[in-house]
Amino acid sequence: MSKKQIKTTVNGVEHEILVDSTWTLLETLRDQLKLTGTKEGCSNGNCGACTVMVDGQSSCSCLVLAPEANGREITTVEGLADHGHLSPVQDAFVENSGLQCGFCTPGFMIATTALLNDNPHPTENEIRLKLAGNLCRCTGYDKIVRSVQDAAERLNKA
Amino acid sequence: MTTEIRSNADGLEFKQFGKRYRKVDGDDKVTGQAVFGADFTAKGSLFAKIVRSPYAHARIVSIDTSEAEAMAGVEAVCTAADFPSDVAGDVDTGEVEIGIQFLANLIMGRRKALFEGHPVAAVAATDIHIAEEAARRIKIEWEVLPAVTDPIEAMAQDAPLLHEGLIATSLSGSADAPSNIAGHMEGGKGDVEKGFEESDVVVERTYRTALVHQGYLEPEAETVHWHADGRIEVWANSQGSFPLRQNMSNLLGVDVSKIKVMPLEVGGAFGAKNTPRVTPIAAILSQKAGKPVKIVLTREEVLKATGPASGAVVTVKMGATKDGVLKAAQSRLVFGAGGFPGSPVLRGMQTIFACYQPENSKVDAYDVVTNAPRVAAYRAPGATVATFCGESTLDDLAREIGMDPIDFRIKNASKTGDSNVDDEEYARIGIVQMLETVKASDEYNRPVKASKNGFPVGRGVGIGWWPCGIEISSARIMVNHDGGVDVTIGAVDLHGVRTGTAQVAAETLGIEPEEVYVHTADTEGIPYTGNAAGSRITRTLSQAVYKAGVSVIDQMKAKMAVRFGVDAEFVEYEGGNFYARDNQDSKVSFKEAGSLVTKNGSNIVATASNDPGMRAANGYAMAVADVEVDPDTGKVQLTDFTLFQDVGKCVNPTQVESQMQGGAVQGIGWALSEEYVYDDQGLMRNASFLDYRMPTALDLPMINTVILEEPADDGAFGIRGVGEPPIVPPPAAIGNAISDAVGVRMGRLPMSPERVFEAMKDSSK
Amino acid sequence: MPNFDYEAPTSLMSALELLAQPGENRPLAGGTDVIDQLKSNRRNADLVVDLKRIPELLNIESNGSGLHVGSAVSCTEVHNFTTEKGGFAALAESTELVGSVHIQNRGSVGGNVCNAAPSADTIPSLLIHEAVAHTASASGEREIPLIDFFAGPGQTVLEKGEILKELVLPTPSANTASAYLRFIPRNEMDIAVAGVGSLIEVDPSTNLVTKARIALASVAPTPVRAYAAEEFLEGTKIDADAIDKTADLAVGSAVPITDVRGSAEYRKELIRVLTRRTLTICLERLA
Repeated sequence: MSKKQIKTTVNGVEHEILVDSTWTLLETLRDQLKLTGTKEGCSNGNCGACTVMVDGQSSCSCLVLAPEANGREITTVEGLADHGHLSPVQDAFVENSGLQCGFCTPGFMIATTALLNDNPHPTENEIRLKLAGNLCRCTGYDKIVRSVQDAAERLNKA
Repeated sequence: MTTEIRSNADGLEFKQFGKRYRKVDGDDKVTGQAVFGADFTAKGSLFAKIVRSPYAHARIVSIDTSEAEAMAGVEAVCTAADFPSDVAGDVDTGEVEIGIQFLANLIMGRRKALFEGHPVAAVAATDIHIAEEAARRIKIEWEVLPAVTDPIEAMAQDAPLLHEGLIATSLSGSADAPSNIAGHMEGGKGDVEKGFEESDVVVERTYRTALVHQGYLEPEAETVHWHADGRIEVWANSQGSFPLRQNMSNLLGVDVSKIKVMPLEVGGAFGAKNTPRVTPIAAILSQKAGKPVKIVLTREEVLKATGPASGAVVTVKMGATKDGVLKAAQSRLVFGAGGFPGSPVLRGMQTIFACYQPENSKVDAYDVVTNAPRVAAYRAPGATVATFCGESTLDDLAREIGMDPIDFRIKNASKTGDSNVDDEEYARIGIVQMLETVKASDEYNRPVKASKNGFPVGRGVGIGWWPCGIEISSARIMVNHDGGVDVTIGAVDLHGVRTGTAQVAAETLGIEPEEVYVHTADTEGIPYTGNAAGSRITRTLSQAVYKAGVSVIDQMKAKMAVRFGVDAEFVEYEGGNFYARDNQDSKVSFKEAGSLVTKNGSNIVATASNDPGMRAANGYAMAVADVEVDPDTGKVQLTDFTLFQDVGKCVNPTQVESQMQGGAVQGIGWALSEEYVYDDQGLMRNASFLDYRMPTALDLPMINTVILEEPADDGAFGIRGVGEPPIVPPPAAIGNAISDAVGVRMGRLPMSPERVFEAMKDSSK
Repeated sequence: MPNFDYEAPTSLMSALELLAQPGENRPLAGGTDVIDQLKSNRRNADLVVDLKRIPELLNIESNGSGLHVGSAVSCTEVHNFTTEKGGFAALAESTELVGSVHIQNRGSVGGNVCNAAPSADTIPSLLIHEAVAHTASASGEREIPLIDFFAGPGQTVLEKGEILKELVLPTPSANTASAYLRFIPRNEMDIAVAGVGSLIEVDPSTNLVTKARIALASVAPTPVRAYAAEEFLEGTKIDADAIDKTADLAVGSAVPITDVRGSAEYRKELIRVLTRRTLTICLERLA
């Protein structure tokens, strides 16, 4: 087993940790840093429940090795609210009921935040395209799309 | 003192109903703070891995766990030998039941593996990677047997026999010899042969559907701690804390009172998480190790070895006169149950013609075991498949007669007081009203949008019915020192029950939902509550909350009487205020009164459960689907979709819509892209989300919903079951839309592109 | 997961030295294939060499010799660059189809090529542009036309210790159009059941096709070119009839298998349809 000392910034906080080369970023976040907001749904990049941002880019953390996080900035769902104040994306999802069981929701929070960072005025089709990598089984996506549209409006007003 | 109990909602206005309140558990979920099974780790916990059969059908010759046990970090290993063998008692696994002996065998295979992935051993270690390695070192000697996954093939005399002692039971007695047929059930009335003779048009077709999975995003994840003093603690990922507790008791031979189940958030279940699968294994490992044990399944394990929904072969024959009288309806349903008996074929039988009153009917239902994972409940188990087959046939029949498909349905629709194929009388239902609403709707009448690609387009409808269920729900209401209200429930919140419950409590107490705090308790904190299943939580819980709320008001009135200096019968509660009769100036708000009373040392607490004799309130939904079909590839794109559903009385429209949309999309996936694919060894070829294809956001249009209210008969504000009906009609509506678009009748689910392409090619020959 | 070590060298030279060591050394770019394969024990590794700190492998530019795509450049970056730059429409389209946006953000085009799945979405687009693979190892460098890069399903001609350094695509002329279409059962996320990339160059003075390149995915052990179809189309005046005939000929280059994603017959039919459709789009793009 090869261990690597890495320095990674997660949600603005720098961590210096010893990781196994074979760990994924997902299990490192959940098991080592106890940030259990990011979920494991499928282990092979097909469901998006593990979506985090790596240097601002949405990524499936189940397909990133822990040592790859060295020197990178990771954002997880825990990093979106500001001292307990929900971000406009988070608030829009609660207001519009863009969630039911909540398991896929952290992935959608990151994917939506990344989407709106990149494209502040997405069409419905663009929203669906950029969220196609995040599976939801409870909502049928209708209220998720509406939540994203509402979040875009809120962000554009701000 | 008597209080009026509202048993029928006709014409009554409810202040808090029909309102969209902010989802109370939303903040924790969008911040990632909500705790699901895999997020929880008990202090000192071990981590376990299950060892599973790589074969679909095999005898266990021997299991050697010595190498695994010798590994550093491994603290417990178990096989079926560690589980009690003479289990007895009932088990409650929700809407798809299973006998306890079978369940025990399903959880840990004893002599045989009956499907790929069947657990046969498990290891607990200090680290999950050690457990995984140890699991690989468990040596199992197998005698591989031929496997059969197709239910028709499994019925054949020479099919590989799964259970040596399985004798089919039927109305005419027991079979002569063991086979893979567990049961043959029959129903119907009249004389279908005569009915077909009297028909001007008869349509007959055989349909075939594949296994599908509930597809919950959260793999099963649970922790169990079997303490040295015999107490067992379970941090559960289950739809019902109390049924799980009872099931564990029966499976492990431990008193119910020694078991505590604490529900964590559930990341989707849809019926499947009523079956204890992981908890008993974690319990035995914990008992052996003396530490908590946590098990988290992988997606591959979930797809291969939890409880999907039955695949089936269904023949339907229907006959009608030229003027649209349904003379005869007949069906033979064969459902695959997986490795142990108990598919929901009876439900299929019950629902296939439920919306209609054929003059003569005959239904034969076969429950057949196969070398596939034993099925579990999936949202209206059996109905989606049955409805696809029945509605597809009926649609063809209507067209051949030349009658509008909805008119044909209206003419033969079931009404209040009619009876079902198994002679049960319908309580108040509004199927005709729903059909008429759809018939008059813009969604049904406007032209189908032309395809931007110039592809053929079409529209189809389908209607589905589900009996829904009744279980016991309990609620406790307490008034706090600030006059705010605590509502404790036993129901696991799968989709938003806490929000709706706050509304019902607020309605009953005459206050605002913001002053009500709802939470789900563990099995020590509230009386018995059954599984969150059968679309019955809102209905039964509303009655329980109502009863508790009425008691709270009565208690408060008694206390306020002392303050007002009058007898209790002269205290009124109206518009959110207590006052002495004829003295409006004495008005005190609920909040103020609650505070005054409780601060003075009086507790205001009421606990109630719904009446066990409460009747289920049937649910039914109708889908209108527009599709375009790529004529060159067979790919079907859903372009417009609306679900109409009668919910009796709508508490929270947002919650109701959410259930409708989620269920409908599961039905859409079932219709177009989801299926289990097995090879000839009975091994699953698509056990990942790459090739088990659930709809993504890009595959779907907005899912429109229309909520109808024909109140149910008794007990709970007229509320009907909401959660299950939405999944029932979509495959039927989509099949009918494809027929409308390209003139082919699809006889298989899913209606994947290649199948539609082949059907179009065949029909053009 | 096999027990591997991990290194993230910052120069190409050190990467090549690491990869030349004895043992199974696996280069890692986006990881969206490699990590999945390691996790499911479909591939083994003693050492994983992360290429993402090596500047020349992260570079994408267009210059006199064409479009240069460093082997670790992500699909998203290639998509954004080619969309802005123009001239490589098929490649721009393909890079938006690989998995989801999360996969595209990490997965590299170079990795998609080296993973060498016959179904890879970026490969037909690269083939029709006559991409050349520039490789490097401790013992030297090679230039391999991409059509010669594949040896079988999941197999390239790369030798031990050799990596793909960059892909070079000659800049097409102004009268060139390309398109890529794949067929999947859903609308995203699926592996292509069949895929076609088409490119045509038309001489505006004669209206004749001066260059036709058609490449097929998922219908052979490797991605292939439909040479017979190309030969037919070159020199013709392209119209609906010519397109139909070209499509029929493209089917002849397809030798698909039947698997869980589709039957051989259906795949052949899809090749016909996708060839026709991509050529029609190319025509529209030229107009």
